[in-house]
Amino acid sequence: MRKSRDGLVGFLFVLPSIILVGIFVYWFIFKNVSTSFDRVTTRATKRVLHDGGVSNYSQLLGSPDYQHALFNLLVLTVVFVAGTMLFGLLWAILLEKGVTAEGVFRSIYLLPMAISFIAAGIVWRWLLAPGKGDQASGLNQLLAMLGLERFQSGWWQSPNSFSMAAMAIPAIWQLSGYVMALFLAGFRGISEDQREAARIDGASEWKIYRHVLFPQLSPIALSALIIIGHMSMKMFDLIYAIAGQNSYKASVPSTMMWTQLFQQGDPTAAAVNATILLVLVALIVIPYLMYTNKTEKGMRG
Amino acid sequence: MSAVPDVNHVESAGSADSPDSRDAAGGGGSIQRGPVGRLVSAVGSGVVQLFLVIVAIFWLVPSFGLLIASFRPESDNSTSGWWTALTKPAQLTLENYQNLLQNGAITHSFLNTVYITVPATLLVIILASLAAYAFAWLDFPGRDWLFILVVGLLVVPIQVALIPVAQLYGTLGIFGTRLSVILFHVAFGLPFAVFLLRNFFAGIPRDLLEAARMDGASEWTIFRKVILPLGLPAIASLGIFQFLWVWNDLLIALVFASSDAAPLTVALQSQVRQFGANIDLLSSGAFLSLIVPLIVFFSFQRYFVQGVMAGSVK
Repeated sequence: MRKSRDGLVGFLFVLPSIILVGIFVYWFIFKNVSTSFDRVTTRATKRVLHDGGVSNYSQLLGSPDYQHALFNLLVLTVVFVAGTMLFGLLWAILLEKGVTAEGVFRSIYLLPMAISFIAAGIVWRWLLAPGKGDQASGLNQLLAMLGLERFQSGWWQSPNSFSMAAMAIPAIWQLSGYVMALFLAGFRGISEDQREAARIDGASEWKIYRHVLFPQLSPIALSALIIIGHMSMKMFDLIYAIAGQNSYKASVPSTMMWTQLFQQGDPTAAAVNATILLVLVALIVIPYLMYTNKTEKGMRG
Repeated sequence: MSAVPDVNHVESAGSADSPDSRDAAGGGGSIQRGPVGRLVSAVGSGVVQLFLVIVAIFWLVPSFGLLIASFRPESDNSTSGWWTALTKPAQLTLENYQNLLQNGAITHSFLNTVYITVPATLLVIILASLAAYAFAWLDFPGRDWLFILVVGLLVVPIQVALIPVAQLYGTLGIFGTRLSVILFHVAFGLPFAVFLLRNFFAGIPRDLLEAARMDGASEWTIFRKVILPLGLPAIASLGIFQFLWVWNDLLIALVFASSDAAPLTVALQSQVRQFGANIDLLSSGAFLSLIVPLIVFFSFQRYFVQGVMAGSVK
């Protein structure tokens, strides 16, 4: 009696979510993938744009523009992940010791997370302006005021092929506080007794971190790594806001998709691009989910 | 399945004056140190404090500069940096904001942002809490399988759905409307929402639910009278996150909203493209778009931090 009523009610409760998610996400992933295999010819001249099938993929993967975007994505992701992890962990270590006005610092570091990428982009466009000498503004002007002219840079517009690293600066500014909050939660979850015990055994502060605290934080470090990494792969708004909508210099797959779709009117190439992005994200996240699921089951024994 | 076993306890970590943080603060002093050791640690904590202050100043500069620039006249902004206002505060003016509020396109897009964000947030909260309750406490065929189906989508890049959804909206004739933007936000907000709430609801003591069932309460009554009040902290943090995501979104609105339905982020973006150097309008507009998220952030900071931590598996 109980069971059957439960079943019906339960099913009704999840139904709206299932329908929305089912249509919007699953059906459309399928549609997107099927679009990506389309054979496309121009209407007027019958010239073949896409051969269809798997060759659509080799076509995009082989194009220098896409390889440029992938390389940019790699540079952006490495710097973004390294920067947020570094600041986040450092702040968490310093704050969890209990400094004066800890709450104020925490708020200040977290604050940029509440700001939209577009508003942040408006500020950082100006901070990362490439002008030097009399034309200097933003960071370059600050460097000049500190007498550090030789560190002035064209930032993301500099001719260097690693210029995308500069685009990670505003991203680090926005999300380091998030990583800090994750690590702080991790520190707070470790009982004070464990540290006391290590101290009584005569362990130095460094050894306590190295052998007692850090090992227990490694699951959090891993999830922070995954979260920031997959955010980086999907990043669109910030690059769009800082570099403009069709910048080649700052292009990554997700902004390139925008260009393919609206500038070049080529939904097939855009669909191929989106599918590859999905696969890349899945390659990072699925092993992680399987790993955490396994360790949780293991812990429960 | 529960990947966030600790959501119920994260709360205390979020507030500055929790007993935990006091303990951590006092912990270092519990072992006796000599005078030299005390001096070293005093100097050390001074250095730490100084370092934190310097970094905090750097972290505030972008937002602060934006705020100051938004109060300076256009002529000043184009000839000198915003920091000159610190020594000559006389140049500050409300003119930019007056212009902004008289700019019909901006005020219209601000209202659009509100009309999009409020329903998109409420709908996600309602649908996700119903589903989360069912996934956590009700038995029905295919429950675990459906749960995996929903939360497996946590990480799907929205780019994947842009093209086919645009085609569907075209067929339905709702392309460009606020409704189309809201629907997309709800669909892509649900997986995370269901995931977060289900893990929190699963931590509610079974006895409370059993007691209510014994009294003959229907599932709907249990949901309203037991689950919703007890789950409020998780619902609050979900609400804040969903609110900020939708409020701050650019990509979805760029694709689906016509100029009449476009929210503030899109209106600001088009200003960037059109004029490039109109920092007075841009900075005041950016601040207008910031003010609501900032109020949300500061009023619900506790829940915000809690949501950040619960989202650590996202």
